Amino acid sequence: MLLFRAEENIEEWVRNTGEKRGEYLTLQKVWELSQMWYHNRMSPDYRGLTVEEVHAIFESVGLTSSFWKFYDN
Amino acid sequence: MSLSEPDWQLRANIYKHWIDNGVAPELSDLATNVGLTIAEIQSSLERLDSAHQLFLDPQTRNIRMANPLSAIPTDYRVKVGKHWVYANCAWDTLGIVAMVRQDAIIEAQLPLSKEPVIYQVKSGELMADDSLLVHFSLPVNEWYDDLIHT
Repeated sequence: MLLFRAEENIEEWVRNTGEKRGEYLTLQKVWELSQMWYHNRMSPDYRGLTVEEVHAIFESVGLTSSFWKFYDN
Repeated sequence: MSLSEPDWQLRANIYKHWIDNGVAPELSDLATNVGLTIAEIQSSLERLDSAHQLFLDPQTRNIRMANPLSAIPTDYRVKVGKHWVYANCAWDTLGIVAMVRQDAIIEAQLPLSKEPVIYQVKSGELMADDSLLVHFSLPVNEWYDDLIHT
């Protein structure tokens, strides 16, 4: 997950590297997501995130497309 | 693979040591900290790796990542307290801040241009250029196929 100045810089990076074009979020949205995802990561009581919890976190910050979902392989 | 209570305690100790000291713990640090043998710690680290609770270097089996922390230098680093620590990616810079719940300064480099960028979190507020974006190249379902690439 790399940092960019603007969408056109993402497109330039994709063209130059051949990497996949995925989805981008504002840094503010990533801060919201980080607080949901990592807030208890240092707690001795942390026991990981279930798939259901991961989906709930993404949905809580408005990330509801298939890009943000785990699937059974 | 299910993890035992000592595995989870080791995991918690890794994070605490890392943030307290600014570097990933060595096996000898962990042996001292949790009172296990080196062999017991190596076995526990393998179980934590299999459970995606940390990531060991494929060759050396040393700790490579304990998300959001990176044991090797990257383009993303965060100053928390008196130490700089490396993040695995742009998302993880803010993951570190959320995890330690402290004010922090982040230094990053943009890909291609290598332009340096600084942002910070103060009293829970992100202070950054509004134009900054984080690109997620892979969908969530592919994140663990190749974690270094992700």
